[in-house]
Amino acid sequence: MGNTCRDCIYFENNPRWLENELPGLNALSSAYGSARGEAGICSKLDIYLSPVKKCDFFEHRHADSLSVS
Amino acid sequence: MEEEAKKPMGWKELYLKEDWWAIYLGIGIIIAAIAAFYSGSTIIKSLGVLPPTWTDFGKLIEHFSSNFGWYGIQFAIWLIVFSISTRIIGFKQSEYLPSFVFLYILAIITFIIGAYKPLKHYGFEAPLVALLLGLLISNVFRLPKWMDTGFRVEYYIKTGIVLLGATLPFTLIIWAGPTAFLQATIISVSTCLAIFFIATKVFGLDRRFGAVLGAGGAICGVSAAIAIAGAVKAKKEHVSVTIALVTVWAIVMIFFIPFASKLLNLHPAPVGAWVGSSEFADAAGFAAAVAYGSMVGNEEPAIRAFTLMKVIGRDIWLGIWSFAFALIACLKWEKDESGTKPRPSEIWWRFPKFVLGFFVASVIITVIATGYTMQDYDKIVKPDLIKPIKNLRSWTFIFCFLSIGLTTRFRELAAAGKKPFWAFTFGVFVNVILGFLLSVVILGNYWINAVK
Repeated sequence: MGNTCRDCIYFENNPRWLENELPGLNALSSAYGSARGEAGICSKLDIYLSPVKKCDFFEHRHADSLSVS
Repeated sequence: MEEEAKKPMGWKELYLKEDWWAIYLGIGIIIAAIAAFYSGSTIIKSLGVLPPTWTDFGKLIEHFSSNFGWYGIQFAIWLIVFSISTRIIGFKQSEYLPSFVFLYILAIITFIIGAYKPLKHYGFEAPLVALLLGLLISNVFRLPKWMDTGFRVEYYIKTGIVLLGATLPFTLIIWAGPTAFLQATIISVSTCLAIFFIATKVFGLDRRFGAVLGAGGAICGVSAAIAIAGAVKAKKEHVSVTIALVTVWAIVMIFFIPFASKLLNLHPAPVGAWVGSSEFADAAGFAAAVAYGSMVGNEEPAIRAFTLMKVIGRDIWLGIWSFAFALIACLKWEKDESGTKPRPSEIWWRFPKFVLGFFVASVIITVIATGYTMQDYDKIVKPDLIKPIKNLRSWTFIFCFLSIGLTTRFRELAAAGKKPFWAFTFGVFVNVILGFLLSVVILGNYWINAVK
C-alpha cells in the first residue's frame, strides 16, 4: 500500500482546497460528497486522480523532515 | 489536521461526508414528523410554514405577523442542525453562520416572489426565481468567496431527496425502478459513447478527456465527471473544462425543458422522466422538475418521475461506471504505466450514500401507510404527516436552488475550447432528443400511469 499518491508530497485532496482549485465544482456538486471518494490533484503532473495510484515521481511527504532530522 | 487528511478516510465518512449528514438530518425530520403525527402534535406542521400564494400585500403582511414566531423557530432549527453538521465536516462557522443567515433571508424573499400570483402566470415559480436571483447576485454584485461555505448545493439537495423518499411509496420504486433503470441506461450509454466518439475520433482529444466529458454529459454531471476523472487520471484542466460545460448546459436545461414542455402542453410525469434522463445534475434536475410541476399546478408527478429516473436510474450506478472506467484505464490505457488495479470496494466508497436514506424514508412511510385505507390516507396521513415533510423539503430545495445561482460565477468557469465544447454539445443534443423520445413519445403514458 505504501508509496501511493496518498503519501506523496505532490498530492493534495483537502476538499476545501479542491473546491478552490476547480472553479464551479461546488455549484452542482461537492468535494465533500461520496462521489469524489478521496481523489485529489497531483501538482507534479497536474492530474486529478485517486490516492491509490502510484508513479515514478513519488516523493514521500515526510522525506524532508526525515532527512533534516 | 493535514496528517489526518492523508490517511484513508474509510468509515470516518460517516461523519465527514455530506451524504451521511443528509441521511441523519432527513431521517431525523421524518422521525420527528411521525412522532408528532402519532402524538397529535401540530409542531412539525407549524414548523413547515411557507408564504402563501398572494396578490394582496396586506394579506402577506398578515401571514408573516401571525407566523413570525414559527419562522423564527424554523430558522433557529435549520441553523443549529446545519451548523453542527458542517462544523463536524470541517467548515469554519465564522463563515457558515453569516452565510446561512443571508441564504435564509434570500429564501424567504424567493418564496414571496415565487408565490406572487401574477408572476406565476408567466411560469416564474420559486425554483426559477431562486436560480435567477442567485445568478444575478453572484454575477453582478460579487459576493465574497468565503460565503460559498453556506451555499452547500449538494448538502441541501441530498437532504431534500431523503425527505422526498417519505413521499414516494416503496412499491412504486420496486415497480417502476427497473423501467427507469433501463431507460436511463439506454440514454446514458448512448450519450456517453456519442461524446467519447466525437471527442476522441472526430476531434482527436485525449481519451481520458473524452471519458470525463462523456461521464459528465451522461451520468450525473459534475459528480460523475470528478468520479470518472479520478478513476482514469484525467488532467486537472480537463476536469475544469468539463465542470464549466456541465454547469452552463445544466443551467440552460433548467429553463429550456420546462418552457419547451409548457409550449407542448405536456403532462408533468413524462416531463419529470425527461428531465431525469436529460438533466446533468440532481440539483439542476430538481429545479427543472419542480419548476415545471409548479407551472402546471401538479408538482408531484414531475418530481416522482424525475426521482425514479435520476436517482434510481442513474445516480446509484455511479460507482459501477467509475469502476468500469478505472478498469479500462488500468488494463487498456495504462499498459506502459505503473497504474494500480482498481479495487471493487471503490464501488461502495463512491456510491452516493444519501440514496440509502431515500430508500429508508420510503420504506418507513410505506409501512405506516399500510395501516390506513386509501380514504384515510388521503384524509389523515397526507395533510398531517406528508404535507409538513413536503413543506420542509421545499425549504431545502430553495436553499439548494439559491445556492446553485450563488455559486455559479460564469467569469470563474474555465474557458472551454471549441473541440470539447462541440463534443459535449453534440452529446447534449443526443441526450435531450433521446430523453424526449423515450420519456414523452414512447413511454409517456407509462410514466403518467406509473406515478399518478
